[in-house]
Amino acid sequence: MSEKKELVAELARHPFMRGFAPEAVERMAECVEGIREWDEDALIFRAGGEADMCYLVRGGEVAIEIHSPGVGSRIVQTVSHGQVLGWSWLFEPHQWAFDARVLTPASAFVLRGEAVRKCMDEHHDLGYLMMSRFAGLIAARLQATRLQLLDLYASRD
Amino acid sequence: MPETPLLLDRADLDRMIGILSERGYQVVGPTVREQEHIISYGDVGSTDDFPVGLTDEQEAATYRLVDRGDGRLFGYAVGATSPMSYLQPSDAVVWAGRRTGKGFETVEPPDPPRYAFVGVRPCELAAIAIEDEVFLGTGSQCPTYATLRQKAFLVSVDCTEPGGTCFCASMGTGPGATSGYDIALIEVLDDEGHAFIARAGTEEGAAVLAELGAAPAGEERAAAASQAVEEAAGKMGRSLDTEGLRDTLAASLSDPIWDELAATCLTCANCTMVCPTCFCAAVENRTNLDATEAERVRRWDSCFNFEFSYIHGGSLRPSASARYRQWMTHKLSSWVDQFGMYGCVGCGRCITWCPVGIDITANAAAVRARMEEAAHV
Amino acid sequence: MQAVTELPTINPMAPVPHEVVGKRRETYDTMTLELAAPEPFESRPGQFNMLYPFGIGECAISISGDPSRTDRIVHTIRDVGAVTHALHALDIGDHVGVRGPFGTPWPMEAAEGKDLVIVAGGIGLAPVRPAIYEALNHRDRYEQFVLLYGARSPEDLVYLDEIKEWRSRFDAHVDVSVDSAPSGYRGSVGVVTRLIPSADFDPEHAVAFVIGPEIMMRFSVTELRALGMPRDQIYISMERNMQCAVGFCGHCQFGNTFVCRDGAVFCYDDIHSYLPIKEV
Ligand SMILES: Cc1cc2nc3c(=O)[nH]c(=O)nc-3n(C[C@H](O)[C@H](O)[C@H](O)COP(=O)(O)OP(=O)(O)OC[C@H]3O[C@@H](n4cnc5c(N)ncnc54)[C@H](O)[C@@H]3O)c2cc1C
Ligand code: SF4
Ligand code: SF4
Repeated sequence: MSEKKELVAELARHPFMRGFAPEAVERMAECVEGIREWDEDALIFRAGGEADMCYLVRGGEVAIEIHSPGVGSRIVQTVSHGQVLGWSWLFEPHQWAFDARVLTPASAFVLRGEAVRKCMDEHHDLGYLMMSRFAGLIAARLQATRLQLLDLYASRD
Repeated sequence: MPETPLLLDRADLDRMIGILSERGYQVVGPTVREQEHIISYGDVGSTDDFPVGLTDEQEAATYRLVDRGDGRLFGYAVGATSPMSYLQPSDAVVWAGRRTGKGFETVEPPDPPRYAFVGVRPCELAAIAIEDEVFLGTGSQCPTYATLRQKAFLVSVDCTEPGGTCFCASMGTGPGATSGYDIALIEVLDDEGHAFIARAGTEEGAAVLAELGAAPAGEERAAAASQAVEEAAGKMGRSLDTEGLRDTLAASLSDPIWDELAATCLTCANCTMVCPTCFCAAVENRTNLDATEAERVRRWDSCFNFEFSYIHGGSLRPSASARYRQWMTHKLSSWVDQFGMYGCVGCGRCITWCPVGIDITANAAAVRARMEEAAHV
Repeated sequence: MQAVTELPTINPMAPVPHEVVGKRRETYDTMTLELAAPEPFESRPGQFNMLYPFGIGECAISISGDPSRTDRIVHTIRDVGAVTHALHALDIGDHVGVRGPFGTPWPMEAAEGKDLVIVAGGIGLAPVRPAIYEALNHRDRYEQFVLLYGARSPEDLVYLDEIKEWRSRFDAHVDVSVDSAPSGYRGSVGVVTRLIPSADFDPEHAVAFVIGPEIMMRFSVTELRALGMPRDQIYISMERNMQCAVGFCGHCQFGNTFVCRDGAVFCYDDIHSYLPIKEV
């Protein structure tokens, strides 16, 4: 199998790609810059940095951290195999809102954000699928945030 | 039991009170509580202690005692209290203990009193039957209640003049007593004078009547008395349609109608304090000053109290509407699921004693109307 | 009328003194007490006792120990008020009053031959720990065993040693998640409900035990339902003000039920209609 074919096959197995037609996976594969690996504690991106890449996590665990003066850094979510790390690359102004720090050695498909956006523009079916995937992700994240706000386990006083 | 009705006069009733005291009973019955000028259960030494020649005018948020102009002993509906004040009293000690080193031991309770109730209404008998189910039914059994209850002697008096808020006929609990009494009386005041038709319901009741040496009542007079009780069913001040009520209320929980029904409710808990079936109670643990002796008491509580549904952090029913809904749906719906009967005997007390006149019969009808309306749209 | 011919021989309101023989701190506000059982104490997973520090008051606390050990009664208690505070203050050798066990158990039989999924939030891990012991003691009775446990922060997690042990078993899928954590925390962060979709079980052939604060249970059930788990295969444990535990005091009513005797463990199918109603 050629390197490219291998990449497409592997990308197709990623849970995020479930339900994507073979040609859609191929188009996405075109946007892949490579597979990257990080060691523990590595910073994948930093709040305020340019969100130019889309990360589909293949393994390991990555913490989404937020730093607030006086409180320090807190982890608000962890992302692991099969999940997507952030969506800031998809929306203006393409700037990361959180830090992403590696908890256990991680690897991910790295896709060029701009290329993916262009691909979505040109192929509306694919664009629609991607958008509905991300809408689902954002909705789930919003619900989780609400639950965190409710402080589920806390005493109510 | 021999069903031959016997004839008693007022003097016989006085002797009956005497016999019951001799048998070791503390005799209680309806009396006039002078301060408030209301009828309430109290000690009865003779028939003079009953509210002789008085009747009660009862309406929503209205209660007044007025002279009847005759010598009837039981010429009113029901007072503010019921036998529940004795059989399931507030502040009943349900356990007591004493410290012993690092541990503690149980202190046996003193013997409870034996009560003879004279002048119990059929709806009150029905309320006792309900409490029996709550405290002695299928679940755990309460020895505190059982002991008081086992020793109780019950003399009922059927109703011939229901009150303005009565609806026992709707609930199937009156106006005549059908079971649950030791002796059942019907008071008659006719051309032949003032008398009581008596029937025994138990061996002990029969023994007490035998001790009185009463003569059989004339067949006609007894029949006329029973007739008057039957006719009383048509003279109820209120009525409540129970057909399918359990389901109707069960389906209404999320309906906004509860906000409307409870709009004026003060959550004062009066309705639950006067109700002869409301059994909810707070369990309180108390100690003496140096914490060597402890008591566990059951104090009447009410679902209208804010703290009633408190769990760490707050009350689960902060709104009056939720508390009113809890109360009424308990009485007329969930009670059926829990105990196989309604939790309301139709005594009307909650209507009379509600300071803003909230009426369970009107509200049950309102929920029914709303749910029927909802089913049609 | 003599409806009452026989008097009850036991007083369900009478506490029986039990000696405290073990004490262990779980978190900054939670502690596990071990009591010696004067007679073999038989209980089923999910049942609770009423605990009475002499003279102070009484409260409902679930049994959190291994039901197969009948010589000990184990309770894990969060210090939130007067009575729980007094329970925390007990020393080894002190006596505490016990009434119980009360309440419905987790239906272990219902899960036999199926996947067993336990979703616990906060202190809710304590009341379901006996079910975990029972399931792991008889692991062959179940297909997959899944435990998803969530807490507010890493400091709120209880039973850490045991969780580690369960995690190391090849036949148990154990996932822990906290709502948020200080930077440097190595575990998974996010609400516990998020763990449900990625856990390994067959929703149609699984039974779920869900316990924790009410909102957490509601959202967990929503996730389970979204995966296709039928309502009657989900069990939840309710909490209401509880003063007598035997149906006399009326406080724990939830819809037409008494949580003390019809619960605390309910089949979701039986009570689902009450959950969305405000202030039931
Ligand atoms: C079936 C059941 C099992 C429980 N299991 C555990 C457990 O394993 N571990 C644990 O830490 N806690 C458990 N709880 C909660 C525990 O009962 C309360 O935290 C406790 O009653 C608080 O009492 P307090 O006096 O310390 O607090 P306060 O806030 O001072 O409470 C005063 C009174 O209110 C009532 N009350 C307050 N909160 C609750 C509550 N959450 N549930 C019921 N009644 C309450 C009690 O009557 C209590 O005595 C359980 C509750 C129930 C109903
Ligand atoms: S609910 Fe009202 S009418 Fe019914 S028994 Fe109680 S006080 Fe009487
Ligand atoms: S219904 Fe009437 S008596 Fe009952 S709590 Fe409300 S205001 Fe008081």
